[in-house]
Amino acid sequence: MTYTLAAGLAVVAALALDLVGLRTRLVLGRVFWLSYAITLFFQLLANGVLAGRGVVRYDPAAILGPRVAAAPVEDLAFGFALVLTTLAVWSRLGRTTTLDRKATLDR
Amino acid sequence: MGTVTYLAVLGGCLACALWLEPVLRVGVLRQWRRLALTLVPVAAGFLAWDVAAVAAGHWSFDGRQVVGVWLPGGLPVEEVLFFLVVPLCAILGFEAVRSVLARRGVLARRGVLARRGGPARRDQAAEPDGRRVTR
Repeated sequence: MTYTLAAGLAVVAALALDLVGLRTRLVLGRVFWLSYAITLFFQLLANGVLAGRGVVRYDPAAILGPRVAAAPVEDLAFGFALVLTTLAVWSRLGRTTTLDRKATLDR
Repeated sequence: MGTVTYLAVLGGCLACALWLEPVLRVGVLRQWRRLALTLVPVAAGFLAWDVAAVAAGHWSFDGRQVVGVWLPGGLPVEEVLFFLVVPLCAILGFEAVRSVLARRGVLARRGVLARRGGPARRDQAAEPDGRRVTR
């Protein structure tokens, strides 16, 4: 299995967790995407240093090749899966009222 | 930056996100049980992937840019911190957005007519004070 395949599977698994497993449905609302956009900005900064300076090095055979902020494009999928999984679990563990849930969906 | 390069990046992430706790009073760190119950399983899952990826040779770490504490599975200690710091920052950002939008919602509801009306709504959208008021 390549990093490309693993990252793709992680995104599918995270979406399944959010939509079906935990039913948090964050990807259907506005709050998740706004906060993901902010997180993504900082991920690109961190990736620029970690991959740019070679703290983490990637096997060219395990990735597609295109890079964003010095890191393989797969890192975007990796980061998305990490953030969505985290926020889905976090939201599930919270005391969400019906109103909160409705407000999240409305957004 | 030498051996602390990776640590410095993690410190930078924390510096960019931790201020949200006191300033926006998101109460993430205050809910430490919920936080631990989120971070531990998520970090465990992604660390398992990390170990498998290192074993498969998908990626490797530069020993000269980490502090030099290596864990079973060939991971530098920074990698464990990464899977605690990044999810924590994501949660802080998520709760900050939620908090800001909720406060805006309260303000909008106080002026329901202004919100529903066309011109008033445009005014509200263009209101630069909106962000300041919600603090």
